[in-house]
Amino acid sequence: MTSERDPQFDERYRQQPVYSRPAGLAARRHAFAGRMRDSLRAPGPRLPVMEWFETAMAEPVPDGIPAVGYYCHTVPPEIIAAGGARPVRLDCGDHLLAQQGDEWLSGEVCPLVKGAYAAVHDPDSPAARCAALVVPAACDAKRKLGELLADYRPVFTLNLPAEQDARAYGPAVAAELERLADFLGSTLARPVTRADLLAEIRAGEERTALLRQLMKERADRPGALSFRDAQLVIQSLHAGADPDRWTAQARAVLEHVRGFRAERPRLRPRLVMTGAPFFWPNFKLLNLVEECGADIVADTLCSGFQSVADPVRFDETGRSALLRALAGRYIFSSPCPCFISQGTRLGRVLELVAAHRADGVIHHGLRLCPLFDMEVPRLAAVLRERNIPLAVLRTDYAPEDTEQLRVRLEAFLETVGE
Amino acid sequence: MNVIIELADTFFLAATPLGSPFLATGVVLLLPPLTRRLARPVSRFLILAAIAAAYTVAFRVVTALSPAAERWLMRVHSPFFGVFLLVILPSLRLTGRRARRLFLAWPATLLGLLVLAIVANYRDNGDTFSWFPAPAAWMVFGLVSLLVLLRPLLSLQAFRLVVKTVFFLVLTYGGFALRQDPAGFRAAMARRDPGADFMLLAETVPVKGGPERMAHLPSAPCRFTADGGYVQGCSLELFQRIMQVDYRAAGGGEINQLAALNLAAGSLLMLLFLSFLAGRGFCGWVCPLHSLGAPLNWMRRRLGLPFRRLSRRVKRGTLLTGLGLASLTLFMARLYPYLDDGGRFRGCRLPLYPFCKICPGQQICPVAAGGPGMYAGMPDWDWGFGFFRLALVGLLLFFALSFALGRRWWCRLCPMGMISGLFNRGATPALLKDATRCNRCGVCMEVCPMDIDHVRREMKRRQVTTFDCVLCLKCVSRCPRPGCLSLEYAGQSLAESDH
Repeated sequence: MTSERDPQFDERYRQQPVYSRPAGLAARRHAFAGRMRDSLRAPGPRLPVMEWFETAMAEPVPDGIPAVGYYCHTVPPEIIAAGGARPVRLDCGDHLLAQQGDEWLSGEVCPLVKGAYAAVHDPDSPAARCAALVVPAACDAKRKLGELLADYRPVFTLNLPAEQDARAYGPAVAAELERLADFLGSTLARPVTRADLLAEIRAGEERTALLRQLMKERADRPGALSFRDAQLVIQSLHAGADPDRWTAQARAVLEHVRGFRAERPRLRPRLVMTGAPFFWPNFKLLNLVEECGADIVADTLCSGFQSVADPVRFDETGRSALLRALAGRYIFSSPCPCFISQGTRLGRVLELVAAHRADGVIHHGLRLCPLFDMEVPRLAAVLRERNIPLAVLRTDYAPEDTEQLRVRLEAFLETVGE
Repeated sequence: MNVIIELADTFFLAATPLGSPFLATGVVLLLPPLTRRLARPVSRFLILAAIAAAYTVAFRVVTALSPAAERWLMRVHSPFFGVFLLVILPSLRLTGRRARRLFLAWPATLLGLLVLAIVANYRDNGDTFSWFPAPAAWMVFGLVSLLVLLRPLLSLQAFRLVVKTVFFLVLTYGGFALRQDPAGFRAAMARRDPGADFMLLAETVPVKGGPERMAHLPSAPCRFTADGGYVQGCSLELFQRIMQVDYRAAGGGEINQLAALNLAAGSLLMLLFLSFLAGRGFCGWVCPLHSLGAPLNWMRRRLGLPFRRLSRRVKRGTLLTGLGLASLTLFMARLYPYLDDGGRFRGCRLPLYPFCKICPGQQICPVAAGGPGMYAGMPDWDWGFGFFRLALVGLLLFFALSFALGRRWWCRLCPMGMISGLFNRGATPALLKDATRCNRCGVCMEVCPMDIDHVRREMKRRQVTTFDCVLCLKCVSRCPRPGCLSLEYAGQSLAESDH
């Protein structure tokens, strides 16, 4: 079937890869990440095991293991893992890389895509070391990102349906995932078999159960683990940490959170975070919220708990049935604003507010991402109807607006407290 | 030991009125408003116990006054309703973990009594032949108690498989347990000839007759199964009977026709009660015909072969074919009183049981129960000018394909399922959805053997039971969202997704 389809990118205009390592960029990136790491330690005594997650984030996948990079939570990592490669999520949260991206892309492209494109220019970056890259066509920038990256590494652009109608588009999406599996099979020279797929889905189910418990326990006692650390636990898994070692460490975190007893009742406002994702080291807004004295108890972030909240469920174990199950889990239930209706995310926000007795909601708008901006009016209206306070904070990766954001946040938290 | 058994006997005798469908249905109808009004389970229990006591007294008074009324009441009585009231319903309603654990002592006692009765019977009558020499009511209580005891140990889908297997064994080989006399059984077998062109009504009455049988079930326990024993047959067989009654003769007071009418009317009433209590759950949890087709489906799944979905048009065609064939054959059954001695109506030869003659159940179930010797044989070409042979071959083929290529295609054609389906909305079990928790991933649609999309699509109403739903609860057990889908029975949540 694959052979019948046109190649995704026009081979005639393929360009030679350009590699560049601007002087001082690595040092500045290191310093910036160091500042972010320090802010993680600021709240006080921290669980020692968190160091492991920090290192896991920074360490590239060992040389012997092929890695396949992917750029969005709509890509099922199980398919990559079934192909014998380590799935590595490459969405960029690095402010300095985003700046560097200005060299090739216009200032009207969002920092996430700019940073992702800038990263691949460094031959030592995780992206450039990947055996293949998978980019879903989730927005205009990502739709075109694939072709640019294709000059560097083999790329598969995953077509997404615009409507999340599992009945109408289920078979089409499963066929698209089948095509992805074929692409990975030929690129990695190892076919994605049904048995491997099944084993990976089962392993993923275990990790999801673990994270589900962790997030539930943390929402009950937010003092046990900061939201930033919780994000780190989740993102280190996506960044390509060894799954078995990750499971052992995450279990230790869960045990800590379970055993945590607060000395006094926690009176901080409880918030639900929604909107655009935060990728390490862009934890600017998360730092601010926690520094301002609020707890984030739940999120609908595709970089956060939302990306692992639900297990993949299936009844039949045929290859096509497994691919349809993955399509349901990763594409049809995604809260991404690239789909036509925002009902999935609205429903999720309301559910989380009710389930965790949240006092308010913060919507994070990423500058230059019109998809999230377009969802604000309805989100605001729906929350207003239910008397749930909402703060809409638009920002990018640059640290310059930190203090402005702090003022706005403090004002919002005062209204929440009332 | 004998004292215990005598005591148990007295209990079962005293509990006879509790086997009434009127009481069971009344209690089920009363439960939701009672639960809303009374917070304490104890007060609820006391009120229900008072109602049961009042019904028992009324039943005793009525039966003492009029033997005719007793006959009619007992026609619809079944130990199933008793076990429903005394074992199933309490086990479903108990919410507290401790109360639930304490309650399990009750089915354990019933199971113990059954074992005791069998042992005692063997010890006392060691020289006479018998398999499970226990009264039928005890058997039902024991078996259901066993299932209730197993429930906490198994996952929902594993439990469904166990229930299906138990029902398959009971409805296919159950007569074996009730058989007391091998000579009598052999004689009955010799009289029964499912392949015969022409049979007397009495010849097809199952091995175990009498008031304790469970009449007709709204799914397919074939009456031609030699050891079906405990039931009369399927609901379509009942309708066939109703069609066959010679109403003119019955009006004239002919005793045979009146008896047939009496039997049919009682069974019909019971069928209504059962359908109200379980909806199309019989298709998902009981139907032996599905149990016989399921291995084909299991093989396909093991091989990892994909299932095929029927297109909308084919689905409609299947439904209409099922309805059409059922109507046609029931119409043929109506001609029964007008058949001549050769079984002909205006020169066209018709079988005695036109519906059964085209039903694959009559071909498959007897063989499953009694081996190849029980094979009924294909209908002759001269019957209905070959209609029966052609229809049967077509249906058998469709039956095999339904499970080998798809999932439960057959159940879209089955007229028994259609009749039960009519009760789905408004029956006691209800499939509910909390739309705010739904992420629209479509797993419910993906795993549904009946290919229902309504559960995924419905985002406003809470009630998502549909005509097609066989209550297999696969959607509930596979839904990844905690508390999104649930099964409610008489106002009580029984199963919840991801719980």
